[in-house]
Amino acid sequence: MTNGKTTPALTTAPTRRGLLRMSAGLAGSAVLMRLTSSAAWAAPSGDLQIMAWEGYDLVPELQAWRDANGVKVETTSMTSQDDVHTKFMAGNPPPFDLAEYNQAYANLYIDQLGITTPIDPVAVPNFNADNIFEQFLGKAEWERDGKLTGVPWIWGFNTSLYNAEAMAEPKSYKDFLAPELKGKIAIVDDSVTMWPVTARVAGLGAKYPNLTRDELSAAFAELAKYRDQARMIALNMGDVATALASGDVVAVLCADPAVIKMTEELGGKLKMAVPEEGVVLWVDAWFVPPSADNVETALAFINEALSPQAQADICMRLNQAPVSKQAVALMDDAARTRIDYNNLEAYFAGGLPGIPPLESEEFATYDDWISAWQEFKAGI
Amino acid sequence: MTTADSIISIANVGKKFGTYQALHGIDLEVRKGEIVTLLGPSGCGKTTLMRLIAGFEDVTSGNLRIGGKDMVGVPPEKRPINMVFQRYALFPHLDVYENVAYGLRVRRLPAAEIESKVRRMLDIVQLSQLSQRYINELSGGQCQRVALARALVNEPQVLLMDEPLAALDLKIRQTMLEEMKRIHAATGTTFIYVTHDQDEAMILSDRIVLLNKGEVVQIDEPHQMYAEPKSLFAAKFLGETNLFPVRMVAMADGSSGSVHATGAVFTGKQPQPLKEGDSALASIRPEALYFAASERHRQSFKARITDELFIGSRSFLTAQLTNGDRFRIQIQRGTACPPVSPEAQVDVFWSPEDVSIYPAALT
Amino acid sequence: MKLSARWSGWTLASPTILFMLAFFVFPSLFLLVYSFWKASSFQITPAFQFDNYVRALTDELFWRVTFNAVIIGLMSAVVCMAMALPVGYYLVFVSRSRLLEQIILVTWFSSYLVRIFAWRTLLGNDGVINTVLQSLGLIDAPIEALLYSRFAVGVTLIHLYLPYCIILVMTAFHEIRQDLIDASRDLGRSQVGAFFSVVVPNASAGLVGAFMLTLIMTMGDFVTPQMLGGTTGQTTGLLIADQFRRTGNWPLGSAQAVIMFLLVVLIFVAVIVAGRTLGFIPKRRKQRAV
Repeated sequence: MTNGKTTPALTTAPTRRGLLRMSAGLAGSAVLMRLTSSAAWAAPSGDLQIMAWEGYDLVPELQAWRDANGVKVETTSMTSQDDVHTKFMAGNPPPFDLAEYNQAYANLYIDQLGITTPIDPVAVPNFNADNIFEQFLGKAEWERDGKLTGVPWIWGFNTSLYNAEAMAEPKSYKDFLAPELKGKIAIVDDSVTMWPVTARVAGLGAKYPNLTRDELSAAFAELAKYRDQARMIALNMGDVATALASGDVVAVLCADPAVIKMTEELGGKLKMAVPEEGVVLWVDAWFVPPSADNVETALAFINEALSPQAQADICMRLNQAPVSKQAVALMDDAARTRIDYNNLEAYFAGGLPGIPPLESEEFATYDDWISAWQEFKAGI
Repeated sequence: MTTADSIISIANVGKKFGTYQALHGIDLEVRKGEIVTLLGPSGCGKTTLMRLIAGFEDVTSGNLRIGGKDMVGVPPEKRPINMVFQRYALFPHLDVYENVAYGLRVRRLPAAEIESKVRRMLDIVQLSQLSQRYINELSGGQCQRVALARALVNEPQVLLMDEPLAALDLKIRQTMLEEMKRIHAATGTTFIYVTHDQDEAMILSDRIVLLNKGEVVQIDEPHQMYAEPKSLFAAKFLGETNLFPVRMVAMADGSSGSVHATGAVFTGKQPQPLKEGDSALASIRPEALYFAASERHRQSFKARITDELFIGSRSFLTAQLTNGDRFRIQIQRGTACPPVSPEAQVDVFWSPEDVSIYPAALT
Repeated sequence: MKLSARWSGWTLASPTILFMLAFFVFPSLFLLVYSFWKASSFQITPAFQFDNYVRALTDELFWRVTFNAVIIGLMSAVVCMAMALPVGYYLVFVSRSRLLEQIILVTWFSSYLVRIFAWRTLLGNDGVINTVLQSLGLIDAPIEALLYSRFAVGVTLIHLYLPYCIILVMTAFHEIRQDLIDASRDLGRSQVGAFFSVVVPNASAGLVGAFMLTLIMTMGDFVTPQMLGGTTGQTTGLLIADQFRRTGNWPLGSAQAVIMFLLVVLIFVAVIVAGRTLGFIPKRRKQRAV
């Protein structure tokens, strides 16, 4: 489900967007032709260059598959979704075969920047109604005209994380404003996570991502109180894990639960809490950029990532949730009981967050949010 | 021995760098207003001694007094001494006037006084026209004069000069030496001059302190030191001399003399004790050898003249004794002398007063 | 065929000149050109307009972080110089010890990020400093302000860039002959007086260079403030980096970068003027010593 308004391409002169889209279309049809015309697929092999969140490149989970097929994976880590699309602005498209996008950026990537190529579902057989939860099937975030633009493969929610030995379980974001927590919390520098939270602390969560400019100011004014409580604005997950493990902070306002494992590995303790304002849902999808040169292997990789065992393994490792129904049975008790997999509608009832509109008269734009976020980080 | 007009007293001074003894047992009294030269070959310790006097190093042993005051622990900036450095050490960021005025400004003299002193000093060194120049626009000789002015304008009790002419051409050196004598006469400051060049020492000094290997060899007026060197080192270092290997014998009248392999007999001064039978070296300067006998020049031997070296106002003749020993004779232009002829033997005459005999073992 | 001296000179210098042109001058010019372009919604179009400059110069955020960067940079650079001058003087004029010089260089051999993390560990709640102070009984609870604060940023920046500063200061001092100091003392100055009166004016070009280079590095460093500054952390460098990394607004980032460059030039001019007024920098260009 998308909330953002899209605007048609503005310029008439050839633009980078237009060119990219054209080449995406050409490359896409070329890929399609190759796939549908050959009776048997070419076997996956060779080098795969992917851009993924740290730990999300399935290194341990797909070890056997890689060894069996002689595939080498080279990962560039992303610390924010911006890292992906800004790479495509540089003139020379980066040589990635695969990258991830957060569902909020679907329209931007598919329609406006045109950096996704269509994927024939036939090429990813594991993506079927038997294996995949219905919440991910046939949705506009990942499908256009019968072809997949991206393959959702893992999801989760960012929420409050805290050290149970140092503080009580927070029931609401407002609990973080307690005086005894001053200077003891962390905030992550990740817009996808923090912008919905910003809206929610001001009671405007339902309106996100379409806030008026006045509402935007009000929301950030409220968030400023949390900044006063914060000791640090962490660069990335590893950064906050280090600080949690060393005791320099005792909680993080909202972050990916994968941090729990990271913190525990460093000797710290961390637990998850679900505040009443709700969690920030996200779904990551693999997509194939137009500049990919090893498409067969990329698609095979995606397929493997959807296999129930791989899904179960990575979700247990990262404390996230699988898109594969069949994976649930393969997880251990702790992981299985984290989420009520029989009742996913409840989680998805509120819809998946989008991003603020790129251009708008009425609402605060993506640029407005960026500026506000920068000012927040700078202490204004 | 401290005399009433002694300005620097150096008593048994030694200086050690780590385990290396650079100076030992230095005794020297410098009188007010005199020009004293510290002379010696490289490494003899003259620069070290000068730095001790200036205060850049402290004595390891012994006593150093300037103007009657003990200088232990007194840094250079507090000593009544100024120095002209070997490479002038002029300040590149100041012009000539400011360089000269530097020391006066440090002492915070009134502006008018600084002006008049600097102008007067620039006149003395004849650099008034160039007071606005910077040092890279000056010639070597001009730089030297600025350095001199910069030091003297402070009216120090003693002026130290560390081989100041080393970087200059020969002709300019001569001129500068005369300049310095003139300036010395004009200011009356005590000069201590350091050099390895014996010509400079002889032209300039009232007294020469000859140093070798960290010790004082001889302290004397130039004439004295030249005429009566008290050691072989002094004889060889100052001017040129011929050395004949001889053996000490008793003479017919009981006095001590020596005899050369060719049978020639040398008698003369014996600055150091010699016994009969000792090996020795008889020293006669080239200019003390003549071709004509006279009442003074009554000793002689026979020699062959093998070569002539013409140097303008004088010539050096290389000659050989019958046993092969070579020596040099210096004659003035216009003096009658036998022609160069390796075959013919001629008589060469000298006076015992011009002979010094030294023990052979020492250098 | 013998090349004239001039031609030989140019030929020998050309590889370096070409390298500098290709990898420094031209990219800098690109940056300047970019700063006049337009950007919106991840699309950059060539143009010639001053909007980016106007936007940067009227943005409270930009001035706030720039002020931060300048203050942090100046303080760190000044402390670096204050520490580098005595060390440099000692190394060059007093001890002439190669060993000491090498010990300083050794601290350079570790990577930049390693040192940042090292300071994080040292200054943190259970870091060495807090632990020692607590075990000595001097404090009851860890001092939080040691880390994620301006103090942490300053200390780390100084540690990171002090070796550069010392080496640059030493290079400047190596040009000064010892006998200039001796002459100054001979004429009545103490050792300290000789330093300010003679060494500084003659080494002024090198010393100003050392200060400015250190300042440029400390001012432009955005990783250290980000990682150790906590919520005081933002500097202009980070802002500019975000324009290139996050928002895709290269023209604005370029304009901000150009403004920072002009700011540094301004500081340089201010330093020279101050130096001339205070007498540390000779009014006339220094001549080579004879």
